[in-house]
Amino acid sequence: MMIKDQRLMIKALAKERDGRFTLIINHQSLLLALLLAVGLMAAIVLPTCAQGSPDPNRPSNDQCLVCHAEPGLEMTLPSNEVLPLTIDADTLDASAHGVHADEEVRCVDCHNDMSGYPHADFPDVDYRTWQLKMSLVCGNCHEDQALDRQDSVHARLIAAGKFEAASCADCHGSHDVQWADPEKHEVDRMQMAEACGQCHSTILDDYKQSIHGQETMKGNQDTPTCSNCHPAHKIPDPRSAEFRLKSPEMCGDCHADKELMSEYDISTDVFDTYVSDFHGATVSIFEATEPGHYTNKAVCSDCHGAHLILPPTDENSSVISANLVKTCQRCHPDANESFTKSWLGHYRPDWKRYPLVTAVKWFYWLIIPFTLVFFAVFVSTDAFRTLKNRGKKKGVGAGQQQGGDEHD
Amino acid sequence: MTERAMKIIRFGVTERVEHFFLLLSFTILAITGLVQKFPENGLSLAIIKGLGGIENTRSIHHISAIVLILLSIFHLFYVGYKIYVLKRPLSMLPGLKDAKDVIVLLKYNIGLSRQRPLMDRYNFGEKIEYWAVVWGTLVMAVSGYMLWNPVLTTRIFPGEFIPAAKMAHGYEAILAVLSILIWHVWHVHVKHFNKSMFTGAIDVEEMEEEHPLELEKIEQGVWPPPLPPGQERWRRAVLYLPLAGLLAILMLISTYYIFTEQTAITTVPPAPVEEAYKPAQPPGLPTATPAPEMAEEIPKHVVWEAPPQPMPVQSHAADEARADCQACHGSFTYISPAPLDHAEYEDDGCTECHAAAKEVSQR
Repeated sequence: MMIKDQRLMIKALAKERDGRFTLIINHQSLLLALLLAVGLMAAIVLPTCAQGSPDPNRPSNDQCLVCHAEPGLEMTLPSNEVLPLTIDADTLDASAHGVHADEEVRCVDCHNDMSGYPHADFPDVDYRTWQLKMSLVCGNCHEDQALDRQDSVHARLIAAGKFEAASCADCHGSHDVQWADPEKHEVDRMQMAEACGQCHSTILDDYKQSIHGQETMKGNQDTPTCSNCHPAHKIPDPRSAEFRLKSPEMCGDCHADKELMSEYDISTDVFDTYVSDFHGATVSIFEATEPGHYTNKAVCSDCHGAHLILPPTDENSSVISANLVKTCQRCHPDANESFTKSWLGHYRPDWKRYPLVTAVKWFYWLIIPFTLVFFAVFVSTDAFRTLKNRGKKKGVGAGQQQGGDEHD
Repeated sequence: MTERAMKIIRFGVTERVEHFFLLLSFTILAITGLVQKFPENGLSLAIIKGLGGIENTRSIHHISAIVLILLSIFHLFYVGYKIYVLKRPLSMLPGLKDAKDVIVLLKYNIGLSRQRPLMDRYNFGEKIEYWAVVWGTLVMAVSGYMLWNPVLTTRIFPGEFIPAAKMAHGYEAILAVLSILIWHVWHVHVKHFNKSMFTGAIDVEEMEEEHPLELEKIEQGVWPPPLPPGQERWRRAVLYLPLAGLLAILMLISTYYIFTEQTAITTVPPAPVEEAYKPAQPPGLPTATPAPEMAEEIPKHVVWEAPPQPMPVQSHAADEARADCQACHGSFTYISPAPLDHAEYEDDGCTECHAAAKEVSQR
């Protein structure tokens, strides 16, 4: 471990004193040990975000910054990684945990394994292991989010040994943690997308080109960013059957919302027409009966793309008629141009656009009521007569074996 | 009047077996089809679940459809045999008399006529039902096949045929099921429980009401009409059977091809998901906080000398941010804590004894 001069000096000061006030120092170290024990218990038992400032076990940030504001402070970890230890007080103050936080958050609220000086040795072999352990601390205050996160695809990957999967600080930052709830604070939604893009760079590139991304970059608040579809902190595995089956509803949350879509002149029929067609009906049946079962029936993203969604009028769109045959062929390799016309393009059939379908519809809209009315009229009169005849037959008497009817 | 038989044989074994397979396939098709027509209905979902999921339900639907199609092919050639070889009369063909019968029976039912229409071997009710089944099966088989293999269909027909077929398949199903529920159930289950399609025999009383003309002919001994002489039948059979057999085999082969044509029906699984983890920069340690601009002026190494007594404040200046010495260095703190005997000292009295080192305080 690389010890900088500042700490050397403090150690040296302490050493000097050792020689001179042995007794007192002993008292002090006893006291210190006691305080440490109490502090440790407090860290476990008491919620660490408790208020109240003059608490010797919860030194103020200034006390920490005495050393940690010092430029060039760093230490070498057992893995030979060099960890910078200098904290920029301005960044800290500007962060969501800084001077504008609802409750005061001190260094030791997160670094609650730090108790006094000299600090204990670095407890892990490398930085990432330590960072992942540290992310547990966030749950002390942000309990709901931490619980949600436990089921996320990231948490599962970490549990499976893929330590590069994101934990709290990877998205939110650590000392520069930012507000993330757009309902409470002004949040740059594109910056949120960039946070995901740190690891998912190709997806971010796609998103930036998509109509959603383009609008978000213009400052549009209606468009989805990553977390609208991959809700933080739950982030379910988007490859899972459940996610696939639910995804049309996700798109429908906005695209079937008349109020929202009216602003952009986008049809809200898209969801209903999808569900009433073969793909959509099958997907909704799967969702209702076998939610864990994978289906290859197309969902929205299979045709429109997931991240690189272009408006259907864009010449590069996967669903513009010129490109549609290629899109269909992804699942139906033998599909031809004519096959693409079998899809009604999210329109409800009308005489102008789909005359044959409309003609068939009207044929049955006429023939079904006509047939049913004929049947109903005939059967009801027939039933009436039959009952009447039976009544008469009984009335005439059981002796008459044949010709109970009024044949005459 | 002579003693009458109480029962008359109405249907042969073939008709009864045909009816059984029709009943079986129709019911299964109706159930497995309607649940797909109304997938949001709770009962539909329960049935789908009970049948082992939608893919299973569809397989059952497809298998029943094949049974119905095979039955239809058989029926076609069986009827052809009866007409051509056995020279049976075309008693199922509708005629003007049937339309008249409808009106007369309606009039009779509401009391405008005292005479029930005299109906023959098949009355109009049965003819409506038979031809409805023929029409329905044709529509359902054609449209159903189009939906089963849309890729092959659209090689021949325009794409719009598929949604049109879907429209027809769904509505025709509703028409067929309602027809059965109203027309068929009324006539052979409610009005009379007519078991002749299972037992083959019908009550004379019922014949009297439904088929008086046929009953009369039977009693006169002119019905059923005599078969053609054996020699002629043989001659016709030799001509008919190979032709019909050939046609039937062709139809079976095309049915087999149509329903097993795999390349067009089979969908390829979607492309595997791209690796989502593509970090913009390799993961690593947090970047070091850049040193302030003044950094160069700060001596990197402070040479430590033995402190004069009492200890000077040498590590840092007693500047504004750190004016409260005891916050860090009080007797009960842990950054270079003051001795316990300092515990009661005033907060701002520290510098009286502990002069800050000149060099450091200038920072």
